[in-house]
Amino acid sequence: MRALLFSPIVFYGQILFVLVLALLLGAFATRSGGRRPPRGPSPLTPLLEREEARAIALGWSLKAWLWVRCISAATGLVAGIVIGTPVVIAGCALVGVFAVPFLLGPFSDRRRLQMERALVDQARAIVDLIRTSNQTLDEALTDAGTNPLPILRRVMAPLADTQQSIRGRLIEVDRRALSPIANRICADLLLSLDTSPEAFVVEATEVLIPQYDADLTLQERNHAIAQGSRQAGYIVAGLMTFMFVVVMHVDNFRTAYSRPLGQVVLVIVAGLVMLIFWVIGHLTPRVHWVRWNLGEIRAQLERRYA
Amino acid sequence: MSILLFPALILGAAAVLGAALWRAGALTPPPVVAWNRVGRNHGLLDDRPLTERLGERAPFVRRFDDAANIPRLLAIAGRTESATGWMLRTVALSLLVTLAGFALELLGLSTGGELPFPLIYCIGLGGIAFTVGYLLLRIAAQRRQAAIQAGLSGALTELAILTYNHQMSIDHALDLLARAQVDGHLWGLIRDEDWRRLVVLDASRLQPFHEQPFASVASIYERIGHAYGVPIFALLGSTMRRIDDKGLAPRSVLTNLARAVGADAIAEMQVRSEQSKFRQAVPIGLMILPLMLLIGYPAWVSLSKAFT
Repeated sequence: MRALLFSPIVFYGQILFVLVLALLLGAFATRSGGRRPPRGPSPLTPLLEREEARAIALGWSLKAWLWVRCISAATGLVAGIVIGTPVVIAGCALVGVFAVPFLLGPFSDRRRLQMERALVDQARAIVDLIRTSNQTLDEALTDAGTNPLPILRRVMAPLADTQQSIRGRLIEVDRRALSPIANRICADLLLSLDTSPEAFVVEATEVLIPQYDADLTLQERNHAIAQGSRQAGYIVAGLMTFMFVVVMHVDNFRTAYSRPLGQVVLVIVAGLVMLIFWVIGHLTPRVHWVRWNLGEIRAQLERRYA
Repeated sequence: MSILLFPALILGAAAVLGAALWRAGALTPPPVVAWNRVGRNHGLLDDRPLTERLGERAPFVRRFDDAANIPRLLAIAGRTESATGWMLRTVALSLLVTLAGFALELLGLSTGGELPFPLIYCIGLGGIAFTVGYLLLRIAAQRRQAAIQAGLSGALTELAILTYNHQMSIDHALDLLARAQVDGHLWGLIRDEDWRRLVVLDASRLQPFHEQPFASVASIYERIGHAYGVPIFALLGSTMRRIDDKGLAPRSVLTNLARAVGADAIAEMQVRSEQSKFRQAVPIGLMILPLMLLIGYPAWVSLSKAFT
């Protein structure tokens, strides 16, 4: 006991412990002094919004999309259980979770681009309608909701619902479309509702339509870049899956991978593949779109004219 | 020990002492001190820090100041803590990492009887922790700069609509639009004049109202653009100045600005897309690592089994 009490190692440990405590206290004291940002929405909200955007881009409901993803994850899990080892089970389940958006990505992107192109065409048609038939913007929007382009039927449907205010209808269209161009078009229309038809036609011809065309060009370029990156991803995923199947086909190799060290090696291989996907994602340039809170715009305008 | 060490130490100490005396003003001639006093009373002296003043003449110093000026980085990143608080916290955390290293040493010593790695590595770990903290701050500042730039660039068309349809002034329209952006970075800068953390509107001391110096919105936007490193603010400020000076229509000027910014974005995207084509070869090349490991490990196990 005496030897332990006077041991230099124990003394060194005690000094370390006291210093760590003092530092933790100091870090806590300096941290609690600053003003904390207000707590945002639940962390699940952006995730659900992203899933909803993917479902809308495919023309599916959120429920159907989530079902497809669950079925894919379950299939991956079953495939992993059939093959055997714990790492392979976890890996196959993960592949099942992410395979659906990865494989359906090009289709959903193409469909989203078609929808955005149709939205710009619809905006152009609204301007033409106001110019030729002397309608107000409100009436033209209701008309567009009644006779939309086929691809926009679900998105534009709220515009035909005359029980709601026109501002509420535009907000509903934005909520359904979940696209940056749709968000901008709805925000601009919300800001332009109080103008005369002649002024709106001038504004749309000079300012809005050229801007939407530029946005569309940017989005098309974005889509082309994403497509190139996705091809690189397909090459990596395809080749690695092929090699994995080939390796697991050889009995000696499969036995080597069934050992604990083999499992660790598989985890490292999976980590390296994830790293490659991360690099692909980071090398893909993306456009930063401004997202408008239409409810806030409506509140601001109402407050201004109250 | 080298024979030159002590003279070098003496010379170093003398240089430090000389620099300290120079900074304290002890070497400044009395007429210059008197002139400085008079000039300071009349607002004729430049009170900015030395690095900032030198930065105007030497770009290298300015770049260094931009990178190492912690209060500036904190203001750009939108953090509310003080530079001293950040420094104390980061130093404390890096010391904690160093102490964790020492604890590992202690553990190794008590179990194995010898140090697992040299003690100097623990200091290195602390240095790495400090560098990571600093880099995270820089990344946060750069992200906020990019977000504010994108937020204002994306709002130019809407600014044109509001100034034309609702007859709003540009600053009021910007206020409304900043509130309506979901990410809130632009509003965070404008709200409660948060930009005053870096933009100092110091009027000449000869003017009667020191508390509320006269500065136009255009000039404020230009200063925000320079201080926060957001070029679109400076561009909007100079555009507003042109509108005021030449009597141009805000809608057409803002529309043209939005068009120019949009064309810039498309050109930039074109360049980045061309660059990304070549860069995509990097991950394909990196694929050799997992492939080698996937095939190499079982092959190595089989070979070693064959030899034993």
